[in-house]
Amino acid sequence: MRKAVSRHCDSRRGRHDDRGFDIMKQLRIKGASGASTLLVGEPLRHLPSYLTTPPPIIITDENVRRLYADQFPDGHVITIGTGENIKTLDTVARIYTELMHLEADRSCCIVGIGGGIVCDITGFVASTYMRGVRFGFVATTLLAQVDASVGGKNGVNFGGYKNIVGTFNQPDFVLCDLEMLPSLPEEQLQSGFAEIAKHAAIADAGMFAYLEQNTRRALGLETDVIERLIYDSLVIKSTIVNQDEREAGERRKLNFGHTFGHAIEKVTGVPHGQAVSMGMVLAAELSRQRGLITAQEEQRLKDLLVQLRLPLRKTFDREAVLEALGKDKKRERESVHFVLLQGLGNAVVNDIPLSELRGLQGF
Amino acid sequence: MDKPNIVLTGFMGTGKTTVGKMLARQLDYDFVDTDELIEARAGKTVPEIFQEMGEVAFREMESTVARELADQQGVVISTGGRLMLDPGNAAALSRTGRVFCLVATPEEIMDRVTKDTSHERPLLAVPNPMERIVELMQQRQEDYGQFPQMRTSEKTPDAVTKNLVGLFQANPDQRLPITGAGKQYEYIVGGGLLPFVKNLAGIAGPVAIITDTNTGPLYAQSCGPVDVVIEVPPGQQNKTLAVVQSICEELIEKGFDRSGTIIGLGGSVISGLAGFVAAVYMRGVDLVHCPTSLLAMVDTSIGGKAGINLPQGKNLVGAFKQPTAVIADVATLQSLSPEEFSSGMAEVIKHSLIDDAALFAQIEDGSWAREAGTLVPPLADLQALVAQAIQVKIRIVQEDPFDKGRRNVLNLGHTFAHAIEQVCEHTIRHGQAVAMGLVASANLSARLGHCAPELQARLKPVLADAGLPTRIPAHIDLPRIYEAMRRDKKAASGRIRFILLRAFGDVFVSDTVTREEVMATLEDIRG
Repeated sequence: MRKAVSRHCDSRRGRHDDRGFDIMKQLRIKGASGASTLLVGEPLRHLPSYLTTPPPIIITDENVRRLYADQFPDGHVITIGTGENIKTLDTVARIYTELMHLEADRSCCIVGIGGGIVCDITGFVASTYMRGVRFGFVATTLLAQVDASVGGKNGVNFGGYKNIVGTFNQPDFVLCDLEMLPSLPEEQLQSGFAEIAKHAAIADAGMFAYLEQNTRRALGLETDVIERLIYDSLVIKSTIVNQDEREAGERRKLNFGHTFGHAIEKVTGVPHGQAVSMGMVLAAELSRQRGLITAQEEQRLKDLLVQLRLPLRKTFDREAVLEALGKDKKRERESVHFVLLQGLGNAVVNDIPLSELRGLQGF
Repeated sequence: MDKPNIVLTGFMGTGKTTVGKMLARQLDYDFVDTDELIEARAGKTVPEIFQEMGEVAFREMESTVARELADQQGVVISTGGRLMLDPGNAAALSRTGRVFCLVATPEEIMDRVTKDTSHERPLLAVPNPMERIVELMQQRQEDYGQFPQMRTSEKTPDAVTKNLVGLFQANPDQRLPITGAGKQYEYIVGGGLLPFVKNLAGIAGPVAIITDTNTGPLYAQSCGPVDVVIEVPPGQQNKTLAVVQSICEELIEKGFDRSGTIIGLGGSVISGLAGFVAAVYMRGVDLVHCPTSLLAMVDTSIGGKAGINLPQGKNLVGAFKQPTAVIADVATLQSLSPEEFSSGMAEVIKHSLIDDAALFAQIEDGSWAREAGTLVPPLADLQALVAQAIQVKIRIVQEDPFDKGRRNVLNLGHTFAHAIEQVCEHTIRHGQAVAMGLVASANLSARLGHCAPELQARLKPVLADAGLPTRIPAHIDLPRIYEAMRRDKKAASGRIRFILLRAFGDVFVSDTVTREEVMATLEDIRG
């Protein structure tokens, strides 16, 4: 499935780490809404070389600014708060106002430096300000590096719905700065590793095996391992997204573990990564029950999650979770589109009646 | 629909039955008079029904008949005087038929009603029927006003029939294909298209109409039954992020999902708002534009630009959103005020200057100032004008769907216009500002030696004939206009971009004009 994406190592500047390895990998993806260059292992301090019209306008959050402002290139910085609650049209309106005060015109370039929330807001602002200006991201969290920064989706929340207003638009570039990862809290890293495991499980048996063999080094954030895992994740996600930028067909596979995950997250309030991990365990159990994977394969997934220090299950109100899961916007549903594994490294989407989910043991 | 019905409405004595029968004969249609049909079914005359069963019972019979006839085709339907004033009946019959309202003077109505002894008129069974006619006409004026009007005074039934056949037949809808940003859609222009909007646009799923509180009451129900109608207050000042949010909230509330289509029904403010909502709601839903102003028809409804205003300026936030269809029903232009019509003419004249010298000559020879409440100019002429003007824009946006180059020329006069509007705090109409901007562009072009001074001399009377200003109001602070131009979103890195004229139909882009030259032009055309 990698054929759709050209992958090659960057050798433009010939940067190497102390062992002489090429330390940056580059991936170019083309979607309906534009082309995007993803650079894994490219630090924030190299940002100026990706800017065609400096100085950029930077959007970041309080935390990232506090830790890394000294590495920001010259340019105006717009700082937003942290947390999902900041993803509102009010925040967007405040940024528009700042951009107007800066007299930012269509030739400006906006760079979001931060995690998924900064990327979502930056993407929406840049897609709509003056009907769209150039933009890029420096993804500072593992989750953003493997997930949120790619795919071209952006948006803000309101009325209790996530991303109800947004667009599809690819950033010009995404830099994944590996040097920032050690400063992340444990919970943040967990969320990233859960998505990495998900990508391996749905699309790449080789990556799955590599992850199994290198969990300790991955958790230790060793550069060569983490770089390969991020790169492989980006190849998987961008390949799926390229095939299906807008529709919910192929792209649904990226929801592996998320159907239960979102419901568990909503009901229990556990961090996203933990909820997705528990969701993957339940989805694997259902896959095994339906004869799509063996008990051994199910166990391999569970073992991997344990090795990654992710939880397999916790006690929660199963009726509340089922109810949250059955509610799609305002509609009550009898069945859900559910992502199942068909062997490790391959996923299928099936329509599963809610009653079948109720019967799962892991519940 | 092969044979859409023709529905005739209007006050008693306007000739609905007489003209309807002639029309049916000529088009080889069936003819139904709703009053006669009700009488035949009830076995009583209308006055008897009124007397014995009451008016409520009669109105119910009318509704039943309206629903039945709406399911047929190839019928000329002459309706009782009040049948089409019921929104339910009007919606049902508009769905499958083109509605025309026949009008006449009170004197002529009195004359016709007195001569016609075949009908009893219970509503006129009063001591002073003439007074009663005038009173009733006043009451219903607004309701009848929603339909295309056909004057019958001083015309023979033959002449009225001929006019109607002309409107209905000799003037088929024009379909102009547009390719933009890899998507193809049609711009359909004609008279009386709104009832067919869902068919014409190929809409299958849920429909939400976004309109304003002026347009909605006039035309929303003409589009047939829809799932959601959202009316926002009219005017540029409502093209805001806050209004976008309130529209999205209402859409969520009504359970409107990604499978739906948004119809933007209204002028250019609605085109921009509805387009932006369709671009961002759930990351994008289908969009159909039904422009109801001349400005929206010849300009904002195509090109895919959608946007909202910030306190600092117009359209500073937006997106590119191509519609799946544009349905321009020129019959809706009849509800425009003369000022609004003139405003649209400014864009028509702009298009002619950009790329259609023949269109300019045609406008120069015709009379396009519209008088209030009349059918001048005739629908057929309006349709031809809209079709010709929009083709200029279609040619240009097809070459440049994302506004990266060639499309700049569409901004002829607009660099000035946006700044003038902003400095006037939007107290003047867009079209008025564009007219001033066109004169300014011609003046600047001549000043820089790009075109002959005669161009300006020919342009001014054409604008004036269309009811448009040719000078900047004296009270406006000219340096502020210049400053506003510098802040325009098209000003790249502080350089102002002007579209200049070489001749009629020949324009080019320049960003090397000096402040002195611009200020001289502004001084020159100040009132």
